[in-house]
Amino acid sequence: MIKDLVNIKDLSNDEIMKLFVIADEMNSAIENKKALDLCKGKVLATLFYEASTRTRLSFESAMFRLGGSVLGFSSLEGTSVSKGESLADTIRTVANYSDIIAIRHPNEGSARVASQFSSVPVINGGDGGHQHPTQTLLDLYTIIKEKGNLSSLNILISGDLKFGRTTHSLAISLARFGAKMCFASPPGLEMPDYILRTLSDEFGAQPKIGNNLRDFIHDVDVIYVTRVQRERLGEMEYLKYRDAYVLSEDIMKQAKKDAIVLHPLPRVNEISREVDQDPRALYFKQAYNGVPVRMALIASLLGVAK
Amino acid sequence: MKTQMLINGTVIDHLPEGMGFRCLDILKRKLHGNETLIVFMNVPSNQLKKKDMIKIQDYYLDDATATYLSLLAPHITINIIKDSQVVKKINPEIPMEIKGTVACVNSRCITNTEGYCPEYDIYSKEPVILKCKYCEFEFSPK
Repeated sequence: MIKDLVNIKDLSNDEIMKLFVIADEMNSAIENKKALDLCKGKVLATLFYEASTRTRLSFESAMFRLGGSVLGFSSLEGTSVSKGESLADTIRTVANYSDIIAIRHPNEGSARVASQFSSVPVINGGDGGHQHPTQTLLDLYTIIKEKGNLSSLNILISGDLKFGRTTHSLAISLARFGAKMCFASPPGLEMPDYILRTLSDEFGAQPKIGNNLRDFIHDVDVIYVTRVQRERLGEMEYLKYRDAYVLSEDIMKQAKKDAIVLHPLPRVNEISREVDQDPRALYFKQAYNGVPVRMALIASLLGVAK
Repeated sequence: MKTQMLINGTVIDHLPEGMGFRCLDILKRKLHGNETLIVFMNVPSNQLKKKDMIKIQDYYLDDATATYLSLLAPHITINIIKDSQVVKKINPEIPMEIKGTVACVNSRCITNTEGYCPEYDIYSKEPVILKCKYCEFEFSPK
């Protein structure tokens, strides 16, 4: 097993599938209300330089459910970071207080820097618009659990594909597993060229590309929607894109009966509230899956997974 | 002006047309400020049709800077002249990866915001495309 998870490419397909077997066991333990002590005496540090609800809380929930403890910060107020401490110094210090670190940071490449200066495993909880590998793991886990496999599926990824870091890691992973893909995004928020090149050059993937999810929705097994990344756009740009795409009840009528709708959350207005009642809308179940998947990852990186 | 007229120094040849002053910008950081130099522009060339050249008196270009210049001009050749003789020819090979020398153009990259040394894989040699090992942003150095 790898020491750190910085980029989803750090994990082979086999390693991902092994993690999912462990995640299934963790899921059973949660459902059966079985207390685990795999991480008893271990400490997880959650260093969140940016706002987060699901990622941070699911990391913490995962560690608590494994019998371990958690420390960290979720805002810079009251930390030495606000005094200008470098990322490297913070990491070197926190590595002395913990057995594993989960970090979210606004700058791209920050998780790789953290892994270079840390003596304990580092998990990337999102580095700017670059990568969010644990979100990708839970996305893949959800798809496999619901649809049985990845390779035979046609998957629509829509929304802000330029800054939506979850879509970058997800697209690369889906290509590695042989899934077909369609990308729908408003003009200006398309998938970056370097991701398209990676998909084509490394995996031979040729996703269909368009500006409207209606063009693809009738033919896909998974509809993955992301919000406009307001924090990475100027306010005027955000207003331009805010209502550019909405998955509504009406559009869902064109989707396959057994299609599933996923979203990394938080949702703003890109999925209508009415769609929540549709049995195909699985985004809250997807968010739950973040806990067993992160339990599996923490236990594996700490070498305590059975 | 012929190469022989330079008694001691460096001749940077086979710069694409218009690249002479861009290379000079980079070299300014390396030069001491008192070297005599000439930038030739629009020189007829069999290989490039037209090329730029730089001749610098009493300055010897190091291999690292030569490699850096090769990212901008892949066909560059460099002659080190001593006592009017070419004592070293450098045909810099673009390496598979580089460290430092070029700043990542992604302003959100951690190497820019906190000053860590940038590292790149060479994604393509012709045209030269660098891929940042930190943020994975790809760009052509300019």
